[in-house]
Amino acid sequence: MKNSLQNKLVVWLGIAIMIISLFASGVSFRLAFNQAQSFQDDGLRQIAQLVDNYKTPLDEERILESMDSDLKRIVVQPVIASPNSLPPLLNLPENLSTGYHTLNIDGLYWRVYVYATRLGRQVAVAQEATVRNSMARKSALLTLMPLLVLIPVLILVSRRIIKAEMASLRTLAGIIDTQNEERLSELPAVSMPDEVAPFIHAINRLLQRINLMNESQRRFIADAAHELRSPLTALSLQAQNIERTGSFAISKERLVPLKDGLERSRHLINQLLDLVRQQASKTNLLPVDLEKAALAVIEEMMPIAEARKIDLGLSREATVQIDADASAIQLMLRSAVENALRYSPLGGEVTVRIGSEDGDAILEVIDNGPGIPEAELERVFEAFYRLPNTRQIGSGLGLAIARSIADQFNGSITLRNRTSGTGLVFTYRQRQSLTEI
Amino acid sequence: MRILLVEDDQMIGDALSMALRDAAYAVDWVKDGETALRALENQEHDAVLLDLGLPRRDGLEVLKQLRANEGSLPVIIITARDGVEDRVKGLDLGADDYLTKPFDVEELLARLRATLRRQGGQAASLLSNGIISLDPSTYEARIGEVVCRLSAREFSLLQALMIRPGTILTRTQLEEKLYGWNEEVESNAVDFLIHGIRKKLGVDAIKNVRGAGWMVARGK
Repeated sequence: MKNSLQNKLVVWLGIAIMIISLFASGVSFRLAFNQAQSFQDDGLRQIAQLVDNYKTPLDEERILESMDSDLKRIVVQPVIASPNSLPPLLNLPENLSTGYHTLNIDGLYWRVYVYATRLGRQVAVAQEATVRNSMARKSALLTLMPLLVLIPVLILVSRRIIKAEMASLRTLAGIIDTQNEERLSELPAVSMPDEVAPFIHAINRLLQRINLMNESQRRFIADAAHELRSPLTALSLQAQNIERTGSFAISKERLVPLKDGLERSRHLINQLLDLVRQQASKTNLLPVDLEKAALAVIEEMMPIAEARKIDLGLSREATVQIDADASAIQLMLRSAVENALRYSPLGGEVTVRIGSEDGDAILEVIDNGPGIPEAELERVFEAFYRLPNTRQIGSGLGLAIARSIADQFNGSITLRNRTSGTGLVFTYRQRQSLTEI
Repeated sequence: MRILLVEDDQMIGDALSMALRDAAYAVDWVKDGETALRALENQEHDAVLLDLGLPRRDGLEVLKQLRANEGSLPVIIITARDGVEDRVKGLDLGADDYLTKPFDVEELLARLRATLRRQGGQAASLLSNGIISLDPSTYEARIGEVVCRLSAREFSLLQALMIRPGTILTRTQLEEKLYGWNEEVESNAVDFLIHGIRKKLGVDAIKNVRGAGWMVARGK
């Protein structure tokens, strides 16, 4: 509990209370002490007045000594003893002015009040200071007592209050600890101290985000399992169809769909791996020349384009480069070109266009297929989503992978239908790189 | 026996149609819920194989709609959804059986036979009119002491007649049991098959009602 807020609060509050009480005690001690002293000084002055009022001039030579009930020695004597009088009790310095003095006489402290008589002689009324001080201290200490009692009480009470307030935090921790990680529920903000509320709200917002993420992950895994089952079902049916025939020729004929089924499984698994790899990879930004990337993808896709008699070409309107990862950008472009080739009619045309606009690099794939209904333009980015009633056997992951890549480089992907004629335009847009090639 | 296959996956649909045809079922294959419901309106099918994840109309909705129309058509759900909840929901909505993908063709065919049998009110696996008994799992027909194996198509035709002995089926009705929509009906196929069956089981096995069609005798 080295970093315990509670302990810290108790310790610091305790220290603060101690310091403040000590300071307050000091001040009040000082005040009480001073007051006691000034009372006693008044006493000295009154004695002096009494002596002055009732003594004859002769008496001024006299030396009085008395002890009061508290064993206070009080001495009244002239400051300068006359030669014919008794030796003075106290050896006072000769040049004492009228008023109060604290003097060290023969090792003892004395409080001395010097006054001038009507005859002009200086008479001193002295009281032993040690006695005086202990008296004053005693009365001052009495005023300290309540404060000294208060210190431990204050510390104890503050400790209790803090502990009680902290209990709600412990309850909160308990709630968090017992959460089911599969389904995180919101923390209660009521009955918590106001200071903790923003913290709880922040945690709740985080929990919500985690829940959403968990939910989408769960859905993805469920979808992935489902999607893996379909090609597997097809494969098992296709294999059994071959098994059932007695004829070699028919078996051979039935191998064709089995091969397609294998190809489909391979494609799906590759896509799944691509997606997972894409989401897990850490971004390593390097300048990527879009033309090079486009050429690599076009080369790779040429056989498919030729098989479908599609005119696949490049339109380079600007030389642009972006900060990204070349293989990821190619993977994204491949998804787009694959889709374009798949949905374009036989003998169609697919163009990869590289351009720039307002400092953004633009990478487009334009086809002349049927396009996508406006309502579906956003949904097609969902993993495993395929347009209803398409004969194409895709994994439904291509665009999800592409978007995941775009997000990685702070780029954006949009799909729009061509306004002139039919077809789809896939647009990737990212800030152009500042570094020169 | 004519089966409506509702399956949106091109490859599975292709392979399953082939497997069913190999087993002498006539297959009509549709790929979405709407089309499935329209196909069912014609009431020409003996059973439905229904996928659940369908475009336009979910499989469960199709099932609900079908049962709401008081159709008692046998329905087997074939789906990749394997949750208990999904099974319970499917069966509660009136499916006769539930098969999770991937499945074995033999199992599907056995379940299909069992479902059709229950539909005909028979618990025994053999179809019988008291004279002929027919085993759907082996395609073996027995008449008295004679046991012989029929071809898939022959079995299919005889089965159609044996489900309700005494009922006359026309040539068109028999052809419907033998061919799916997009299959070309071979002319004289019915005559050819009946000839084959009579050769194996005797001329009296199938009776010809002039101008009407064919029937097997109702058992005594």
